[in-house]
Amino acid sequence: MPLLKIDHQELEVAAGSQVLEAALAAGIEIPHYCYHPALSVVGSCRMCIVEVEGMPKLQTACSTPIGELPADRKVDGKYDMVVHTESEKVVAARKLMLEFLLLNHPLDCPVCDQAGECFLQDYSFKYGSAHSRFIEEKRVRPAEDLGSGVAINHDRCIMCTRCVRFTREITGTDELFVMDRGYSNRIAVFDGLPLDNPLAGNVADICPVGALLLKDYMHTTRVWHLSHTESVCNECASGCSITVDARDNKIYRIISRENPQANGYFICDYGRYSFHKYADSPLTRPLQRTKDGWEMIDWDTAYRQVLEQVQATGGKGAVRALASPTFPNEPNFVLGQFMARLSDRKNIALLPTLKEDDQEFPGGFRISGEKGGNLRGVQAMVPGLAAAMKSLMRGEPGVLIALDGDGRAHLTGELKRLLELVAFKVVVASMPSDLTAQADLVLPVATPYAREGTMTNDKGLVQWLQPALHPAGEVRPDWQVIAELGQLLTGEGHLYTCAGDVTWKINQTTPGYSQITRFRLGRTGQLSGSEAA
Amino acid sequence: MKRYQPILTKYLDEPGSATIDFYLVHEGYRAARKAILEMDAGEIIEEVKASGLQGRGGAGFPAGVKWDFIPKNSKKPTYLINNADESEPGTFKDRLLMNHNPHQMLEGMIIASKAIGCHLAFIYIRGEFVKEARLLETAIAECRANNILGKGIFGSDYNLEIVVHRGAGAYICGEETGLIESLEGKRGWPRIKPPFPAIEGYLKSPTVVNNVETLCNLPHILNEGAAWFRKIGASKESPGPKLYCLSGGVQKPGVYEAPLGTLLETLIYDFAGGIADGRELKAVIPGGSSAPLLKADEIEGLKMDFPSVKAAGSMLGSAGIIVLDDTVDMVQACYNLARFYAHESCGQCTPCREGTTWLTKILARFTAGQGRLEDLDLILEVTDNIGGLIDFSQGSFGKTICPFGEAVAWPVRAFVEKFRAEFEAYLPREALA
Amino acid sequence: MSFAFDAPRTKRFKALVRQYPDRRSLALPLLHMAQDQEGHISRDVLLALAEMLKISPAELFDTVSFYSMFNLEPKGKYLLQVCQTLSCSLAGADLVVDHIGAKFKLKPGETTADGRFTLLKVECLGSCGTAPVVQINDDYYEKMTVDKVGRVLEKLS
Ligand SMILES: Cc1cc2nc3c(=O)[nH]c(=O)nc-3n(C[C@H](O)[C@H](O)[C@H](O)COP(=O)(O)O)c2cc1C
Ligand code: SF4
Ligand code: SF4
Ligand code: SF4
Ligand code: FES
Repeated sequence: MPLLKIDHQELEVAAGSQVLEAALAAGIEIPHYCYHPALSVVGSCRMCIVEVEGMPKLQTACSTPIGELPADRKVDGKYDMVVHTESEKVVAARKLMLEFLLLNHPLDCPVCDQAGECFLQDYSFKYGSAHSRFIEEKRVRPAEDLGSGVAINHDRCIMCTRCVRFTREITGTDELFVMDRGYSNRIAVFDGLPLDNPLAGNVADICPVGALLLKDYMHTTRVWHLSHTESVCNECASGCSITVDARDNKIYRIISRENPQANGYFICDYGRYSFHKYADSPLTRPLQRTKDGWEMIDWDTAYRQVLEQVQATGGKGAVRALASPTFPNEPNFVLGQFMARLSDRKNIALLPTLKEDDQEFPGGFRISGEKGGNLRGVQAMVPGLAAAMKSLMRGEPGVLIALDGDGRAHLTGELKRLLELVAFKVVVASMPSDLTAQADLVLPVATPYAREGTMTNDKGLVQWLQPALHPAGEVRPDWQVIAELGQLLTGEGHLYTCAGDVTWKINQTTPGYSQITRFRLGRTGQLSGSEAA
Repeated sequence: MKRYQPILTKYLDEPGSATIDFYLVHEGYRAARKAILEMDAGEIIEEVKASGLQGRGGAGFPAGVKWDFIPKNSKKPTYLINNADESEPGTFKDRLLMNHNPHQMLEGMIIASKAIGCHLAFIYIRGEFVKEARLLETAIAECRANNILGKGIFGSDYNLEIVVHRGAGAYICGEETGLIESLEGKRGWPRIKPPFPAIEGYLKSPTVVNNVETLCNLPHILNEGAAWFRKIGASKESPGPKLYCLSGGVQKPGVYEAPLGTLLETLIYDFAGGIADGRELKAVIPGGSSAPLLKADEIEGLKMDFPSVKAAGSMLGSAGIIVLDDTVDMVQACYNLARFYAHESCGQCTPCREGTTWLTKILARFTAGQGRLEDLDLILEVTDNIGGLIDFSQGSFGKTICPFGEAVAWPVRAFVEKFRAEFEAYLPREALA
Repeated sequence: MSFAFDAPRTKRFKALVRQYPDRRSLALPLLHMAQDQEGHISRDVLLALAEMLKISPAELFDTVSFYSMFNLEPKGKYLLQVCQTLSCSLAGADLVVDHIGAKFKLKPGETTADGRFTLLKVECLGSCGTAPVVQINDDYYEKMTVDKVGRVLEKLS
């Protein structure tokens, strides 16, 4: 393996890797714009220039491959390449490159949504010069709507073509292109064929400056006011890593979080904008169905109701349960636990959720058609969990305890029959849904982005779901509500004080989860073992 | 010394020189026949290497050496592209070569194709040359009818097709990787190198790009031998016949064939009849607009070959010699070229896209009498930031993907450095105070 | 209104498909053919050609807009392109532009009201030895003077 020296650091790198790649992997910053690890290398912004010993021209780090030198030609007797990223020449050249990039920039950071996370702003602060020598008329072009909720402010664009390469290489949809030539170059869409693909929002994430912006987020807040919560999208079984940006207990946006084991660099627009559906009228108190609608009740009353109904309708043996793949592992695990106690898990089945075809993109990104994001997790949490509800149809009509599907439940004929058959329906839910519409009693739990626990995607990757919001009203954590119901019905106390306690129990008892702990999951998760184990 | 007999343009004045009948009578495709029937690829490459033929498109790279970079036994097809984009201002020789003797060039293409194992070759001709493109199509059809192109040419088992491909108005498509992108049906944005075209060129296959004039030399090298070729011209390092394009303030502008190493003064005063209208020589751009200009006193004894012009601080380039007489306004001339480059920058890399227009805007302001004294240094700095300092001894320090950056930086810089007084004369009086 | 090649051009298209090793490389040849037939490259042309080339219209527009010879808007019957780069400029190209401009009351870039003439200033046409040069449609008119260009235009008007 070639030995590279960057500034004062020695690195062993894979032959053929580029200087920039190697530097970034080692945590060495080399400013760059056009390079993006998921996209082809074009070497056009010229920002990543470095000095390579033995080469008279400055080289672009993104497109300078490191090879192995024969023993007698090694630099200083041992290095295959020696790179300086902060030499006088480099620093000067970088400053000038920034000057070029800012020539026509409107310098409108005070009103720009990218401010605070703009690489132009960052780099000019670090490497640039304070004033421009450009006194000519600036190039001014109106902002434009590109479609799919993305707008472009041409004057801020630095022509790195990341966005164009994204629609060519990642989505394969080819909507964006460079129009005209030279100084007139600009990003455009073809008349009548706007940006239109389910990954479109990513172009705003990868735009290194404030040229591409999401209309959804535009002018709503400033980035430095936001809290950033690292979490997981649960809208489908791909389980993408995300960052949820919130302020005053309100989500402003969701962006992708890099995770090579899960989503790579991107997320889809369903996931990106999913927080909106959970923002309106979440449930805040237990609700009981009355003759003329719903009545708010307190938790004690609610639990008392459940117990009375169980006694009145066939007893504990007749309690049925539905585990839900839109909820984390923890509530499902606890549900499985107490249903084992009540009826040896004969009366628990899987809530059917919506299924579509997988959507695969040329760049490798996949939106799973399985809308129950934690399907694989639920199956591991409740051994022998049946997808069919046949066993639940037998015996006396009793009480049904169902975890809701967060609007993604699939009301199959079988499920409808079950709902008709049971005598009393308890739905544990965060939002009104087609399932709660049929409930007799609704127990409110946190909305998806206020939940905590683990999720297992369809590749078996377990990630930690971090709550970005505090639940409102009398909402309780999902695992707690299930545990309390279990306590009520089994008469045995539970020892869980937080979601992590349940995770620990899962670790102790669930095949394939012996490596899964809160600590080990870290930021990017951990693969669960094979379910057969 | 015996008077030089033109080689590449020897039939210039003969009627019908563009037809295959004429060519068959006079040259007979002898060299191509020999290359196909009697020589193997390695022998052709060796012969051309031995001749010392340097590319005539601008960079002067040895043709045989370039061919040798093509991987032998590659599984992918190999392509030859004849660069007939002729877009460097001041250059107009390839058009002449195509117009008056297209078969000489086609014969060169057959030889080069055999050398690199190519069975499909392209002529990338600038879009404006509509008539030339038609003429070439006709010449190719003539060849196919005579078993000189197509399947099993000259009765061998060698197949070769040549396709004429028209550009569409973009100077940068003369740069070989911009050209390849353009041939692939894309915008002509030059590629980062490596990989070089010899490894990954057209459709990611090994590709050689050669200039029209380079190719036109090949039949003569095979016919007369490498040793004969080496002896033409002033220096064995840089030998062969050369077409020089003279334009600007000379009596008789035009294309003149003379050996490499001919004195620039001979070209200007003997061939082109001297400076027009009894004016004085002020400066010369010796190798197309990208070459830094030389002042009248810098051209004395200057031999026009690749190494000599380089040593004089400029380059032979495409041998597009633009003569500037003493009536030329250097500020206007500099602005004219800067504007050309700003218009033609492909816009891919930051310094060139932004810098060329910045220079043009400053110079426009200058010509409008609104220059500032500090602008002169600013111009020099901006050129450095695009193309790096001119230091031929140390190589260039360009900061761009392709040499276009240097091609604009160097000439603009030379104008300002060498004729600073004229720029200062454009300053408004306040600026000088 | 949709676009299709006429019969001879369709034949030519089929021949080109056989000549080239890949489809997208036909972009420039097809664009030239379409512009020849239609006078300019309209949206319909782009949509039809993109399909023939098996690329998206966006990618084709990316290509088209790069090249100065492709007209995205209709141009006059005669396209008068006067070279303005150094050698032509030294030889008096501006006088030629001014003359044409005055004759037709045109500024560079404009087309006469009757749609017959469009005046353009263009960059180096590769004919500096016979400067100044005016390209009118496919033909070069070399060593132009105000008188000569006047006579050429006379013949066209
Ligand atoms: C900006 C630019 C423009 C060029 N234009 C031309 C051209 O019009 N014709 C040409 O033959 N070479 C041109 N070249 C040089 C080509 O890149 C390439 O070196 C040449 O075609 C190789 O052929 P040769 O080795 O036979 O000279 C240009 C290079 C640059 C950087
Ligand atoms: S819009 Fe953004 S991502 Fe696209 S080219 Fe411009 S700066 Fe790059
Ligand atoms: S692919 Fe699935 S998990 Fe990823 S962001 Fe989209 S909906 Fe969420
Ligand atoms: S130097 Fe200029 S012409 Fe060459 S690639 Fe960069 S922007 Fe394009
Ligand atoms: S990141 Fe290397 S040139 Fe842009």
